[in-house]
Amino acid sequence: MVNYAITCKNLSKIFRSPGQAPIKILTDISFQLRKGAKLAVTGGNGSGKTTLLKVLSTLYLPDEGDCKILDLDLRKQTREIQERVVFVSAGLDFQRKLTLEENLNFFAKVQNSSTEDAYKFIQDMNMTHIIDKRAETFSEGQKAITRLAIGLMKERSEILFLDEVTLGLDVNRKEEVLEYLSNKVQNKTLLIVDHDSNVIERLCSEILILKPGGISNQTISIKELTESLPYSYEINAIPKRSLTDHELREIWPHYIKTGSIIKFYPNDTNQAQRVTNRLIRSGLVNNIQTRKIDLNDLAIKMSEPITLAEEL
Amino acid sequence: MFALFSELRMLNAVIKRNLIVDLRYKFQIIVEITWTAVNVLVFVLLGAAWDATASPSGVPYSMITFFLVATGFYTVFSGVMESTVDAIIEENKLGTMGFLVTNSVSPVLLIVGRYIAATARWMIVLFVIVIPPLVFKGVYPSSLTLIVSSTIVFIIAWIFMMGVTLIFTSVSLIFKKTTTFNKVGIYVVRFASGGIVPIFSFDKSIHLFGKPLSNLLIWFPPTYALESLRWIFSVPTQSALQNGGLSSKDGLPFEGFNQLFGLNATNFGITDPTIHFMLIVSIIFVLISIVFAGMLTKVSRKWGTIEFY
Repeated sequence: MVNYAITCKNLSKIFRSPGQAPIKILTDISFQLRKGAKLAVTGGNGSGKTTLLKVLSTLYLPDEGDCKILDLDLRKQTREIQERVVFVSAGLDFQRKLTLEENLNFFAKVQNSSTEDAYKFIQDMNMTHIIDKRAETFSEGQKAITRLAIGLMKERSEILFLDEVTLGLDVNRKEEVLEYLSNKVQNKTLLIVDHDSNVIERLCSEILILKPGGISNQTISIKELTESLPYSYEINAIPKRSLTDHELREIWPHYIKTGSIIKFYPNDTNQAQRVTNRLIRSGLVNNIQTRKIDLNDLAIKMSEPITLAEEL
Repeated sequence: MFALFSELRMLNAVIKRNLIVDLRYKFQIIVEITWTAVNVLVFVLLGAAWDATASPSGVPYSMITFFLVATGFYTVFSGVMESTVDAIIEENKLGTMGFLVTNSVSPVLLIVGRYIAATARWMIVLFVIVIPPLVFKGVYPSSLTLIVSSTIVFIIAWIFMMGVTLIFTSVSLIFKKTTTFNKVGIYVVRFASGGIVPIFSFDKSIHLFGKPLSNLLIWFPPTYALESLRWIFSVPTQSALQNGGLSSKDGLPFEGFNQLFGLNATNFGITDPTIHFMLIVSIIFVLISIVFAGMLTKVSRKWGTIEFY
């Protein structure tokens, strides 16, 4: 029998506000997540990623559907769930007049945890020199580290919900954080929302793609998804004049037009090189940019399918 | 039992955080002290003007004492309520609400924590700014027994006001921009408790259930708490409180407290049945307000407004 950390069936969430029409943010979300799994929730803007995390972490009550967190009923056993999960979002800020130490102590008391893990993390991130500095002096990166330190305090937590927690970190610091997190959360179930595909690929093995309106019904293995890709590069070209479909097919049959940009989709390095050479030789374009397709492109394109000029 | 300890631990953390933060906003404290001093001065002048044209009958205090005690009383309660009604909005602006709620720190706990911390801060202002003019004018309890009595009625009012504050503050879980609503609410409470006009001055015109208005306000403990504080601060002895007959510190003849308000108060101590009644009313009111705030919390989690500001 598989042990599930999260089981959701037809979960829906509607936002209401006095004097405003209700807005359905999540519609019929159904998925199961094994204990210890690492899941990234992706999708376009407004697809309900953060709302889903807030519902699962008990901040919002669901409107419809059944959901169990660690075999506990999301509606009826809120307090028991709260004992075993942690939700940290990029919006979490601190009392500006309190020092880092005082803020950590406050959140430790609230979570009935020790500050030991938080201090270890702060130490590893070379932030011990600001331990007695007030939060009003913190940079965005230092705030991001503090948020994570608070989230990592609760040793007994079994599920971590992390919403854009690497926001504000510079490249080097983000690398250190990812390294630390990937070791630290090995035995915990992880659900993250992050717009950086590198963060998702480093921390997660599965993704849940939310379509507009927050509809989804399965998690997908990132490895399988990557292997099933029909293309792996995107070449953006700005034409000197309006090009006909015939002219575009001559260059590469798999393309789409978005405004004044033509996007070509080769599926390996050789094909990408061939498309680039053809574009240069044709003299029809001003600017060419090639980039590898990443996980975010996949998520967005899977939630809002694009139609290529010729199916791959 | 574990849940209770857990609540107390979190309440302690919230109080401590708020106290540290409050005491570090020094400019705010200076403004509060100055504002209180201005209030004391204004109400002393108002009381002096009132005394010159009319004198209250049957009570032991002059209008200056009337306003001075009310200023002290509402220095604490207006200050505490105004500090507390923004508790939810402040947590939302700070972004801490989501994290705290998902760690079992309820809005009720946040409000109560803020209320207690704000009380400590405003008690400092009370003792620095309001008590000295009272002592200077000779308006203070004349014996240890009367000091205990004044402390008891103050605590009862404090408990009741916690309920009022819980209701006002939790409304911001659903409705936003509640500043004016809260100001109006605080003003109504201040008026209803006789902070601005003596409630017994309406007795001739307002009768309910065959009784004058002031005789019914036992159901609204802040009114009797404030009124009895004025008496306790003005009477020369505890027995005079019940029986009247002597000249008060303000040099006024007065009736007994019970005669004027239709009560059976004995000594305003812990054995007084009137005190017991007011305490029970206050505790029940706080419990009702906790249930009310809990219901609004549930609605705000359902509607998704819990984190909005």
